[in-house]
Amino acid sequence: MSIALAYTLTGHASELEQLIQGCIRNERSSQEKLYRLFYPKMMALVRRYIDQEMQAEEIMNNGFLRAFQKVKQYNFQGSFEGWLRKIIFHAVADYVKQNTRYTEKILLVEKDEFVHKDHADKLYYDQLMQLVQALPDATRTVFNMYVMEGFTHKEIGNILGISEGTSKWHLSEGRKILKEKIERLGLHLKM
Amino acid sequence: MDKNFINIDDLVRQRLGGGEEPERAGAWLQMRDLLDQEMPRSRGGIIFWRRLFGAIAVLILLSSISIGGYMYTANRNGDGANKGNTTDNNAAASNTTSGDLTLSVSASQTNITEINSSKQISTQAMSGHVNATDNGVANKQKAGKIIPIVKQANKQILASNTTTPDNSVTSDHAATSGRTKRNDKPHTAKNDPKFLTQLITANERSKQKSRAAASPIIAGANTRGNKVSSSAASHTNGNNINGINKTASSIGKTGNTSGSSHRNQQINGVASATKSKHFAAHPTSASTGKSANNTNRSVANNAGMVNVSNLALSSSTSGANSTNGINAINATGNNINGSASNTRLSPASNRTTGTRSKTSPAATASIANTKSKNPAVARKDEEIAEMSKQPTVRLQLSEHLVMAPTGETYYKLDTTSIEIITQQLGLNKRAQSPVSGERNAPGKPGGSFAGAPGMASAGSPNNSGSGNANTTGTNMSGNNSAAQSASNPNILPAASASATGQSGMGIKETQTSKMGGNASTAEKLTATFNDVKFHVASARFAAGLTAGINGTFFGPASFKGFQFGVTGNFSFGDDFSILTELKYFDRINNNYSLNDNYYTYTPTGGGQYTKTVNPLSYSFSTLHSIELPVSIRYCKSHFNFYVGGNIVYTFAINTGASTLAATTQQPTVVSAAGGNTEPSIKANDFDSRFGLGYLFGISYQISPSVMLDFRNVQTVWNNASTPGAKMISNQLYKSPSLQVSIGYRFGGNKDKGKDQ
Repeated sequence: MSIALAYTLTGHASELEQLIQGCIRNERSSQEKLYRLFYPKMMALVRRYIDQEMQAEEIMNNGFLRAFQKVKQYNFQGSFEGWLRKIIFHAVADYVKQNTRYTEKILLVEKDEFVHKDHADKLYYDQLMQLVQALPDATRTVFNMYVMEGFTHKEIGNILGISEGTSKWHLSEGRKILKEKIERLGLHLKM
Repeated sequence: MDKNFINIDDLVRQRLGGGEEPERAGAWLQMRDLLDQEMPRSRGGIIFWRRLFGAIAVLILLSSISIGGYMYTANRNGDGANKGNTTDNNAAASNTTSGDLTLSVSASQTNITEINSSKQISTQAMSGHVNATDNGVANKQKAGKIIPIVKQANKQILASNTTTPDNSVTSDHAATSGRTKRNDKPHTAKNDPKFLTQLITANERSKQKSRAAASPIIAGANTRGNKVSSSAASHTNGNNINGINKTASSIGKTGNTSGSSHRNQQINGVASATKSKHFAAHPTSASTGKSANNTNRSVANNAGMVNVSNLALSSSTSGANSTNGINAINATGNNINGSASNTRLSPASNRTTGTRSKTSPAATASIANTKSKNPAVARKDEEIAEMSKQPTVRLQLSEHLVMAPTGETYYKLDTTSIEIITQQLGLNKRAQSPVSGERNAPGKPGGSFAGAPGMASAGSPNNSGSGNANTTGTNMSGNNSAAQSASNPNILPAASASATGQSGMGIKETQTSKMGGNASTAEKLTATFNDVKFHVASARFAAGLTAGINGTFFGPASFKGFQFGVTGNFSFGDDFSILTELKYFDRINNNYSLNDNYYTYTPTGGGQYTKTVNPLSYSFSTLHSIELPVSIRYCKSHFNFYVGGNIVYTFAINTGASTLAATTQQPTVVSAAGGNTEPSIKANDFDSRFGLGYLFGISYQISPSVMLDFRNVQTVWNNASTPGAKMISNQLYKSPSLQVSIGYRFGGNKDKGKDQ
């Protein structure tokens, strides 16, 4: 049974610090509260890359484990959520890097894709998440990293060990697939 | 760009940017397992141990307070008893006649005075008492206050003593009807000192006063006539000492003992420590010169018994007692043995007696009353003859100067050895009933007994003389009863044996010698078998109550609760016992739930499936069980260490309806259907079950009746059969449980200080 924590970070900085201090002391109660506090957002991040729920949770737990192990390094400067998100993302990236094969593809010119507003308005989180999760693994990873995390192709290339051209190709491929699925989904919705 | 179109990147960023995934049930448990594996709670463990030590410290503190309070209360009670003894002579007299003729006598001068109803010296009362105890339960030494007890028994008891193997007295002091009664608990030689020896302590002030008040007559012979008196007596059943103690009634105290602060005494026969002062106990004599009625009452209460109705201790310590009746009091005609050093034969006593020119009218009156009102106590010669085989017990005592916590110093008398002398005492005729007036007739059997040398005539030099023909014509070794001496002046008393160098033998030694080098292995085995059989047959049972709290800390779930129940303890000897308990346990759930999620796969076409998570969680409030622990316990001092098994019956868990939470997660599309499509826990998996486990722990005896118990219990097996039931058992029932309980026991041999 999950226990929904009522408070958020806003206005509860002192509480968050207490949780972090508890995590530094390796107190299970603090770790549990912190885990449950950031679970939804971190899980959402992971689920964009990993379609299998249990797999995603395992990867996220590994990310949390790293965070708990390194929480002493957090200097209370900046957002703890950003710090945590970075750690979780690296856990995801490591997994993707080890389990995804990238075929060398070269795309020199990027092309943006657009969808009609009517289709977009009828898209909800869960539906769009399913569409993103349905992307091929490599494409999904690059697409998320570029769109959601804000990495450049160069950075993506460095993280995933691929070239910038390949990263661009996967990004374009992802956009194209999503557009098609959204449009199909929109037609389905109209029916 | 047409405003009706939106960039896909922006769309995804907008819709997925703030998205959140609901927490899956059980996610934290997996995370916690991962943390436990990768990041053991080292610091958390420290915190845990801190808490544990803190709890232990609190328990110790509470225990200390309890023990301290108990000791303090006991100490106060002891003081109160002293006061009562020293100030209420009648009470003392009644004590001597109450119950089963258990007569506790201290050889202290104070007691002497007390018994003689002299209140002039009562203020000198030290730790000595005249106490009566029921059923021979020896008074316990409390806070340095020592209550000597001397018991008397009838001759049947004595007779049985002579026939009991291992010199064990099987008679019970309750056998007032003249029949012997088997004791429910034998006392081994190991135990004897606890019961045999009743120590008398006296503070220096009292001693000094006593010295100051000592009679010059006595002082001449006894340089420290007022020195700490001692008496050793106890009810201890199952050995000669006890039996003799029962028969003994008087305590001889001679003034021969030196004034050294450490000295040994041998108390022969009748459990009476003899030391310095001349005093003799005579059953026939009125307990107090104050009132002859006391004697009458006591005799009446103890009809059929060999009554030591009174103790008239020769109050040689004080001339103030001179008016107090007969001081010589004898017990049952049984020996009152002075120490070897005290075993001056009667001439001295006689001489002493002879010097007594004053006879207490009161004493005479009491004797007269005794004579006239106690015919039922008369003994037949045949019966008396049986008693001649009575073994003699010799106690070797040592006296130590002890500094009390209050700063006072007193002498403490310890039993250093116990010797059983089985030689025939030559007691051909038993002393007459204490109430028999014939005792006072010179030369008649059972007549006045001259106790220990100094005991003769009991009375203080100033006292009595009391016409006590006690001394007449009797070669009173200190060990001989008056009656004996009267009838058989040439009898060699047990004391003389000690005087001949046979002292210092302990019971074990005697028993060993009994086994002898000639005893065959078969005989030894037989003896061992008999001992075992005897111990088993003499197992004592004590019921009790217990209640406490429990907690489960080391399993996947943490439960805390309480328990209560009944206990039954079977004691085998002093060291081992078997404790059975029947307890009800109530364990309260701490927001723990059993998660058993499963998935539903729905074909969506194109070879894909929609995977839907079905969170399934079982919650409950309490766990109920009945447990039957059986443990074997070893007692060491106030601590009991025990191990054993535990039988558990766990009631069915009331989960209400299994909570099928609404699906909070959107279904996902997967390429193939997976497993785990059904819940693994069924409703009937929560049914009741039996379990077996182990337990070990330690308990502390806070008081004879109250104990603090700390144990660990774990169920290692139960009859769960289905996978779901096994899962429940593993998560709920098989975790170690720590229990802290307070137990109270009813009855039993509390004075042994054993566990419940």
